[in-house]
This record gives sequence, structure tokens and C-alpha cells, in this order.
Amino acid sequence: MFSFLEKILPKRRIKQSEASLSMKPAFPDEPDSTQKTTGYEQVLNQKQSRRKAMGTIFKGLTAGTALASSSCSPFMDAEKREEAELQWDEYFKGHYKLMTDQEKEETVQRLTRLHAMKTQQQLSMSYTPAKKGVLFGYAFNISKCRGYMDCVNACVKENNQDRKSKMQYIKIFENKKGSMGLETADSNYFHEVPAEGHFYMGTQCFQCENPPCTKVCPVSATWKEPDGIVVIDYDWCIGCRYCEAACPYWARRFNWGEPQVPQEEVNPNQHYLGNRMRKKGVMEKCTFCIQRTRTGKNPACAEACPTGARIFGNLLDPNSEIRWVLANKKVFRLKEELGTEPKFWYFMD
Amino acid sequence: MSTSKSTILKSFLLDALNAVTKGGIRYHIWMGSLTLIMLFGAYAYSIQLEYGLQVTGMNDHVSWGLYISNFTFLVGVAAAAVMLVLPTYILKDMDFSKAVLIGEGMAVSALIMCLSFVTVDMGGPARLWHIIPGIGVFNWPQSMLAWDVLVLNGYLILNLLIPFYILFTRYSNKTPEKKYYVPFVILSVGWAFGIHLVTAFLYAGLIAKPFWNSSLLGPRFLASAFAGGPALMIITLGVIRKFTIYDIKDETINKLALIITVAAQINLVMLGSEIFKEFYAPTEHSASAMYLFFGLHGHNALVPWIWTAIVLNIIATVCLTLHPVRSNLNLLFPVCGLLFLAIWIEKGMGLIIPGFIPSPLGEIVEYTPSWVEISITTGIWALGAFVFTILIRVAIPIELGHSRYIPQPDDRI
Amino acid sequence: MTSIKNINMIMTDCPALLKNWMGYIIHIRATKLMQVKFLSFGLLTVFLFACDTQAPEEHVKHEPFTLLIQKKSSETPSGGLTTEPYLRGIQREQVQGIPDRSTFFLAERVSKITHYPCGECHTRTVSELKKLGSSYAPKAHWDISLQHASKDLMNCQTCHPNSRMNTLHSLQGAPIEFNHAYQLCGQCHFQQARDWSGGAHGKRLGGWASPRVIKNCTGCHNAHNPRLEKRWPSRASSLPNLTLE
Repeated sequence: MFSFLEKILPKRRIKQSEASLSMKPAFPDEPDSTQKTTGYEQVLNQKQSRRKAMGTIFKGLTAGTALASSSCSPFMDAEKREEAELQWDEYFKGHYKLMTDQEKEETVQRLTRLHAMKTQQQLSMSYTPAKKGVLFGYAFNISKCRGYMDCVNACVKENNQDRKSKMQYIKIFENKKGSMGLETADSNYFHEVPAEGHFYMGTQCFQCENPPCTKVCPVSATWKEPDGIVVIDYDWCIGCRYCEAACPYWARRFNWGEPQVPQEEVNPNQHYLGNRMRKKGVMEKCTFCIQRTRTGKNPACAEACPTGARIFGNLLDPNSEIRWVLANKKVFRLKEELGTEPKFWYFMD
Repeated sequence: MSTSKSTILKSFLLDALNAVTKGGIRYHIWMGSLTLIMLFGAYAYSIQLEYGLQVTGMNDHVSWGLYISNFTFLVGVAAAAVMLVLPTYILKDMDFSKAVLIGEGMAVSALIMCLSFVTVDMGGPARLWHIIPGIGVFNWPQSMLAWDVLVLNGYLILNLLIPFYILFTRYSNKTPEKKYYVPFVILSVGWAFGIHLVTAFLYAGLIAKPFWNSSLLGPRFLASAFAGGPALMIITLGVIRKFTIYDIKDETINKLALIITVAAQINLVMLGSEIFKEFYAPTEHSASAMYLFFGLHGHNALVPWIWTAIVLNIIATVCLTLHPVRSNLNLLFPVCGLLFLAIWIEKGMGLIIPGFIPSPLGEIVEYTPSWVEISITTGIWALGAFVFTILIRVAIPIELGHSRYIPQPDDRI
Repeated sequence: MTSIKNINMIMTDCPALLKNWMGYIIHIRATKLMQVKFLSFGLLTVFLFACDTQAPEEHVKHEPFTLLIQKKSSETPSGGLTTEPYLRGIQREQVQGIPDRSTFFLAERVSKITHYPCGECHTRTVSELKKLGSSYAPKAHWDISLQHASKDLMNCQTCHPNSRMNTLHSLQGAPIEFNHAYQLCGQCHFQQARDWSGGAHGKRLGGWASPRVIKNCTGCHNAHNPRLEKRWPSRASSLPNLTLE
């Protein structure tokens, strides 16, 4: 191979004067043996028979076409080729916030198609924008929570979280009466609830108004939407986990491996910024069930709670339940001194 | 110009290739073992790419581990090159001039290691193009990571171009012109402080982590960098003195040792200040320091490490303070090694891991690196040593005047 | 493709000051030390810009967000959404809020009471039934035992009138519809009734958007034994799985 290259490329010490090139006729019939020939001349200006030339051209065309088609689709399967093309488009798409509605529609269709190809399940994925005049808020009644963890179950199912690593956005803490701090609380209880002398508090992403996590992302893959939900563009996240270190409430989760959800448990009602299937190496977190709340429903946790300990609503609606709680109950938030302004309040009866 | 630059460049590269591939048996064993370690690290990385970061010991509680610990420490080593550059160019102390290029070579290797550590820590390395300004989205100036990307790459370019210019001009039988490179050298001095401050601000800016969220973190980083980095430099200068004919004067090493001593003393003072603040009136915010130094609720995996680091640090600083020990080169090299090791522990694992323990909600999950992490880490250290050896093998013959461009009679004009 | 300028405008707050400083440093013919000084000062200035420049206006006013948000209202309190589609199959009744709250709805309850209307069986009053003695065989819910306050405070007649058993009655004997049982429960449990009306107690149906439909008291509580029983959690929480595969 090297000898071939040596013939093609000009040697380091060979003098290539313009004179030798310009005096040569354009298509020599025979190499002129009286003059010094360069490698260029030896190979590329050879006498060719017409037959040999046509043969070379056709060989080249065949090789080129085969190369071109094989580089576009290394598989012969039409479906695999389509999947490869869809993955290619998905890889090179830009940031969600910079997409036009058309591009958002296209990416939703690609993702839906890819899922259907893999699982034969038809998804219903939306990219509903934030509704005007809405700012979501959440209130948690510590007196009412009895530690059932129905909310955790509902959340995991609703949001297609990884079952293998037992990912849970919500953590329920059992604390002894007499201490409010979470440092003395235990989140790994498993006994009849409520236990005597204990109370229960749940944490999840508090959707801060001044989020420390969105500040630190080097690629702006996470941001706060106009309705107050802090979202992540899963395909833009590079997985540096700086946001996970920045969150004071341990609200963000990372996909350390490929997330696994049993086929029959996949929730097909998805939102691009919410519960669509994630991949390994990206962050995720509670989005106040953006796929539900942007259609008027409650988040799955609030819906599932049998004791009514979870209250959700529009902070900008003076008649909402959440506003009534803020006005009439003694509310507090975790780590208020940090200035993160979480939109998740705790109160007691 | 009598000969074109591209011919000289080609010759330069060929001579460099020669210098790197030819050597004695010890050299080949050194490079060969480094290559083996790198290959094993690459294999471990392929496993990490396949299965994801679950093959490491990191989890949602301790989400940064061995990779970022080493990254933090190595940024300091890279910044320490300034401790040779500053005396040479600003203070005009010629005793350092021979060691400057070595220092810049060390900065380049350390930076390559830093960038490698950050890359292997990424969950989605294929999407790293998202960070490129113009093509992706670059969250600057809000995100300190974005700052870090800028300053580290800028510093790498500075430390590649300046020595390259100097070496190439010397190789071309010319004298490097001060007006071309001195402004960039001045820039690199300020920039060195910048890279380590930015890296410190990465941690200090996180309100979620009281262990890091202190105003002392930036100065502490600088002090430990200027103690640990030059310590490694002294050891490498000693190795170069031993294995090559490149002459490093005793004055260089002695002055460098003095710089290290002062920096190590300042580092200890800062450590004392931190310990006072955490333990005079401990609050819940001191839980991380409690975990690190004394253990928390029975979890004490890091306690032996940090006390080893502190004891070694104190021994090394005391030894360095004593003039008879500092000027005895047989003792100086091991003492520098102790100091380097101590700072590596205290600034690497001793800084990053306790930041996550306890978690922001008070949970304690300890961290143990997995074999994949350890293999990749050693692989990257081997890569750094490899790159550094290559740079030195190229630089020293040129500096000694042995490697020069020899014009050929029939070269291209 | 959006230009670089747009991206910067959307994403960051890139100060023009930086560009000026860089030019100043590169072109200046000052001494080397001056250059270092200017560079560090420039860096420091730019660092300051890295600080939060997009703080909500609350930070400027120093008013807590919790207080500030209570002054706001929206022209589209439901964001143009409705929970009607999710309330199919739930009959509802309008309720006037307690004490002075806007009206809302509760899910009617009567259809779920298996033996309603009571009058179909209770043609005679309870006292008359009791006089029948042992010849009257116990039927239906005669095995209900009251686990609600003590015997001194409550018995069946506290809530159920002797006659007109298709309704409940207040302490003063005024009739109360089963669907509006809160009027009865709220006599003693006035705090809970007030909370229920406001939204801090009880269960919302449908969603957060209007109309607001919530459960009746008896939708969650058994009036004869209202205390919630202990039970096991529906899952165990766990710390992350730390093993490979």
C-alpha cells in the first residue's frame, strides 16, 4: 500500500519544476522515456486502451455505488435503514427551545415511530406549551400524610421511570414527632403506617422559581417553563450531572444505565418534556406530571393520594385550593434561606 | 526565508517522531507499560460506554466520584506551571528559565488528563458537541462549567502554542522573538490563576453543598495547587537530571522548593481555618466535615484517608520548612512525593466525596470506586505520563541544541 | 437555523463589556504587570456578570414569594382548560363555601348508598321498631356499631332523625340532605369543614382546572367509624441499587 502511495504522492526531495509539466502534451500516447517522469506521470498519464478504460470506469462505479449505499445503510433491512435514518435525524436535532413548531412535530413523530418500530405500541406524545395565566403550585399536608406511598407507585407508573434502579422522584420520610429536620428522618421504613409517634413528609422536585439547577447547566438543557415547571430536554443533556450537585432538595435523578420499563407498564400518554422514554446518560426529574397538568388534570401523586394530603393548582387563580392554603394555613418551605423560592409548601392541619 | 516553513515543519515532525520512538530499553519498557495501562483503561471505558455509568460506584447520592476528584486535583497541577513561568518572565529570574518548558509540558499533560477525566465522566459523550458555542448552546456566563470549558481549553492552547513557537523557532536555527511570545506568556500567568479559581467556583457556587459553599475554597485551591503541582515538578526535574544530560541547576530546584514550602504552609493555615470553622461550633452544615474527619453515624470510610493526608501534609511541610532538609536533594524528592500524595488525597476524594455526604435530604450513602473507574483513572494518568514523556523527549534535544533543522540541497523552495 | 446572536440572546446574558476589555488588553502597550492587573480586573468584572442577572422582581422588592404570589391573579385561572372530560360519570351538587367562599361542587353520594332511600324499609320509627322486641329479626345494617366519639356524646339519633329517615338532622333538628352531610359533620368538626371548603381537607376529583368537584365527607370517611385504619405502605422505598447489572 505504501508503495502505491509513494507513486501517487510527490516525493519530499523531488524537484517539481513547472517546466517539466508544461512541456508535456495533454494526453501522451507513450511515456516519453527521454525525460524524467514523476510519480504523477507514471500512474495517471499512462496510455490506456479504450477497453481497459471502460473496465476501470465500471469497476469504479460499482465500487462507489456499493460504498455509498452501504455507508448509508449498513444493513440490508429496510426497517433497519429507516431506524438508522430516524436515529441520525434525532442525533443532529437542535435544542428544543430553538425548534419551530414544525420541528417539534417532526421530532415527536420520529420518536413515536421509533418506539412503534421497537415495541409495536402506539404512543400519544404531545408537546403542549404552557397555558397562559397559569403558574403551578403544590401544597403538602403533613398532618394528613400517613406514609402509604401510593403517590410513589402512581408516579413511577405514570412517568415511565426505570424499574431496575427503582427510580423514584418522590421520597417519603418518616420522622419522630419532636423534630422537623429531615436529618433525623428515615426514608426506608416498611411497616404498618402511620407508626405511633411519627409523622410523614414527602419530597420531590419543588419546581423552584429561582432554580439553582438551571443556572449551572453548561448546555442549557434544563430551564423553567412559563407555567413554572422546570423541565429537561432529555436529548440535549450531556450527562455531566452538575445540576444534580446543584439541587438543594435532591430532586434530580440520573439514568446510570439504560432505563427499563416492562412493555405492558409503559404509559403511552407522553409529553416531550415529561414522561417520554429516556435513555442512559441523561437527567430526569419530577415535572409535576406535565403531560397531565397541561391538560387540566392533577399530577399522578396528587390523584393517587387517598388521604388528600396533596394539593395542586394554579397559583395565579385566587379561587384555587392552593391559594386558599397559602392564605389560611401556616405554610413553610424547605431550606427557605437559600432563596430558591420553591413552589411546594408544607403545612399542618 | 530560505527554506519554506512547511518543509521545516515536516522535518520537525519527523525528528520529533524519531526522538519519541527511539530510545534505550528502559525508555521502551516505560512507554510500553504506560501503553498497556492505557489499553486496559480503554477497555474499561468501552464497558462504561456500553452499560452506562452504572458500572462505576457513583449513584444519585454521590453523583461525582473518582473522575471529578482527579480532575479537580489535576487542574491545580496544570495551574502550577505558572510557578515556573512567573519567576522567569515577570521576575526575570533566569534560574528558572531552563525548567520553564518542562513546566509548560507538565501543564499540557495535566490539562489533557483533566479534559479526559471530564469526558469519561460524561453520561452522554456523543452529545458533547452540544457545548460548542455556535453549533450547540453555550450557557455562558451563567454556568461555571461553561467558564471552565473556556478557560481550560484556552490555557491548553496557550501552553501548546507558546512552547511550540519557541521550540520550532529554535529548531529552525532562529531565535524566538520576545515580542511574539512574551505577551502570551503574561496572559498565561493570569490565566493560570483563572483556571483554578474557575474550577474552585464550580464548587463554591453551589448553595446546595455547604461543605463547598465557602469563600475560602478558591484561595485554598490556589494554595494547594502551588504546593502540589511544583512538588511533582521537582520530582520530574530530578528524573530529567538523572536520565538525560539536560542540566537543571540546583538553584532552580532550591527556589522551587522554597515556593512549595510557602504554599504548603499557607495551605496548612487554610486547613486549620476550615477545621476551626467546622468544629468550634458545629452546625448541621458541618455534617460533611464531620463525616470526613470523624465519621457520621457509623459511616467512616474516608476517615483513615483524610488523616493520612493531613499527617503526611504536616510532615512534608515541616520537613520543607527546615532548611537542612529542603536543601538536601536526597530528602527533598521523597518529601515532595509525600506532599503530592497528601494533596492528591485531600483535594481529590477528600473534597468531592464529603460534599455529597450526607445528601441534601440528610441521607448517607458511601462511595467506593469500582474497578472500571480505577482502571480508567489509571489509564488516564498513564496517558498523562505518556504525553509528558513525549513532550520532554521532543523538547530536550531542541533545547540542548542537538536537534536542529538541517537544510537539504534539493529542498523545495 | 437560528443565528448565534439569537442563541446568545435567548440563552445567556453575554455582556458587551467583555469584548471591550479583551480588545483593551490585547492592544494596549502598557507594562506587563499592568496587563496582568487589567486582566485580573477584567476577569473579576466578568465574574460579577455570572451572578444572577435574571432574578425575579421579588428579589428587588425583598418581599417573600409566598406573600407576593397571593397578590396575583390571572385572566385565565384555568389556563383555558377544563376538567369536564375527566368528570364524566360523576353527578355533582353545588355547594356554597364555608364560611364565605365561592361556590364549588361536590360529588353526590346518595347513589352510592346501597340501602337508600331509608324510608323504603323504615316505614316505622326506630323506637317503634325496637319495641317489637326479639320477634323483629335484624336486617341489613343492624350490625353497625358506632365507633364515633363516646356513648355520652353520640348515638344513632345524634345524626339520624327518628322519623324522616331519608335525611339527617342538625343538632336543632333541621333536616340535612345526605349529599350535604358536611353541614352535619361540620357542627363538631367545624375546623375540618372549613378546611374542606377551602381545599386543605378532602379529595379533589377530575383535575386542578375548573369546575372544582370534591368528595363529600362520607366519600372518604365511614360516618359510623370515621377513623382511618392503619395499613401497610404500597411499596418499600429503597436506596439506589448499587450493584452492576
